[in-house]
Amino acid sequence: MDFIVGLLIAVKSLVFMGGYIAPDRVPVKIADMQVLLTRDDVRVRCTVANAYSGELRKLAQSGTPILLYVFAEARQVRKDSLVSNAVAENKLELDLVAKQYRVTRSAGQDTVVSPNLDSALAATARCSGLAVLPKEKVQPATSYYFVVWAVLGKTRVEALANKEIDLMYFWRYNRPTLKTEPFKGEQFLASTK
Amino acid sequence: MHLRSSGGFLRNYSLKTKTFVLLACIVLLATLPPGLYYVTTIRALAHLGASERIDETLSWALDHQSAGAGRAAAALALKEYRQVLVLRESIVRQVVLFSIFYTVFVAALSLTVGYLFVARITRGLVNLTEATSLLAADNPLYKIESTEGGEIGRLINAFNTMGERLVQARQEKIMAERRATWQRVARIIAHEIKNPLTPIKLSTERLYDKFLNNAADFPQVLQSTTGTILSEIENLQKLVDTFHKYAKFPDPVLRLEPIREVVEETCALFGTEAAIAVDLAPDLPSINMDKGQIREAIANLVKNAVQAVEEAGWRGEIRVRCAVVGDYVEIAVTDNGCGISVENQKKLFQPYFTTKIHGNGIGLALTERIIHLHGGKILCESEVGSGTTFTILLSTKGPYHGQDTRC
Repeated sequence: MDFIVGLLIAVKSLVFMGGYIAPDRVPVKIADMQVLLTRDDVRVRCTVANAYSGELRKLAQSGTPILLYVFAEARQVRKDSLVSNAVAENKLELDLVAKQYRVTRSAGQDTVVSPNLDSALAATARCSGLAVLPKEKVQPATSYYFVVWAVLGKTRVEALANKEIDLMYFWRYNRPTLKTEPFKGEQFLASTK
Repeated sequence: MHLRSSGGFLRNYSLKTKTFVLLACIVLLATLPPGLYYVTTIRALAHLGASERIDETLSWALDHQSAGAGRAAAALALKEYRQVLVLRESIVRQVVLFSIFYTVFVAALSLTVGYLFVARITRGLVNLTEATSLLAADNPLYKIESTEGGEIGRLINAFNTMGERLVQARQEKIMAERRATWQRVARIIAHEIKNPLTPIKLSTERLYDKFLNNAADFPQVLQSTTGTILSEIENLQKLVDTFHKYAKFPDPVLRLEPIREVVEETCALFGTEAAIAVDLAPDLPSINMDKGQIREAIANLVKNAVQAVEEAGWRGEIRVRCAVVGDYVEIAVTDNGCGISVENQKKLFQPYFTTKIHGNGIGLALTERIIHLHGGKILCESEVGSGTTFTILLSTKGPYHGQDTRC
């Protein structure tokens, strides 16, 4: 009986949980993480490295929209409680008629247009200035840390009778996550005084 | 009637293993070829329609369509084609992976269920085999408790019935043998007692007759008949002593004694009575034994050999050989007498069994008992008309440990 249960678990983890998906096995990760201070808030900037495997590139070349979400949370160290959070949506889509890649980024509220796939992908993978912690929520004596993670969204595929597929499949349902070192609240407040 | 049972390459394995191997072969044959065929076909399908020319043609069509519905349709066609190319590989990979794991899962599940099923259906036969082995080894009746139906159930019921009858038959046989032994013993004792009684009776009658008639030679007759009577009474006493000796044989008192000396001394007892060739190995050790008993055992064998060649009526040759074989000292007494039939060999060591006219059937029984008490073995090889060899095996290691002896 143990053998059967073990086999079921193996089949489930390997097939349904996307154990082996794509030949590109380089792990996706959050890189170049920076914490920025503005007059009103604390922002994070990062890049999702190795986000686009060979198949995702091909999918992008087909004109299928690729949706990347970057989530950021500011948390109190002592209570480990959520203080505030934010999400950025980066959308990449090829206009087959114009042969232009269009990257729409919600965080910076900007749009990048490029005929080159690599530069479009690089723009999609970058998250600039995601306002995660308003300064009015910062207390000087409290320490904070930031957690950032990225996920791919679902996209509609015309070739599959307009069904949606979960692009996380291409990341083997692994969510790259990064947690920063703690910051003192006074650091955020002092620098803008 | 003999039924021939064929073996095959799994002949040494249990029925459960054989059935399971058969099941595994069936499962593998039923799953592997279709699985391989399925995977190969799916992989071939992955390449269907994968042509750069289609992409180029659709791109060309898109570029050369005038703006409007036609261009949008061309763009959608190109998009769908590229989507198919990308997703097809993933889908095929998923299908192949799932197919492989599903095949393995089904095979494993079939084998597990099959194994349990095989174990269930062969359990009755396994019990039956064990019970048969126990019964064959003369163990008490082992009745199989079973709720099986069908052929195996009937077989188990038949076995239980057969076992009961066999045990009953065994008990009856033991009783019959015991009765026969007692009858034989009674016959031998009666015969042995009757022999001296006849001369005693005749002597007494003669003496009485002479006394009534005031015979002149009464004193001489009295002297001779009294001598006869006393002599026969002495024979009777010897007979009683012999039986008594077997019935109350003492345990051996073991001491380390040189076997060479014992064999030489025993053979010397026979002096010129027979030509005995003694062949003793040079490296004979001392072993734990009761010297007197072992001497008596060897003497009984030599005496039997002498009598065997005498009964044969030709020039006898008796050979006593002693050597070390492994952990044993082997003492072999060989004669070229008349030999012993296979039937009689089975009864050789039974007390009071004899084929001799003047024997009482105690000698070999006593010898076997002595050797048994010394933890040794006694073997007999014989061929009618050629002669007999009795072989005693005594352990060179430690005291006796009581083992069965067989002929």
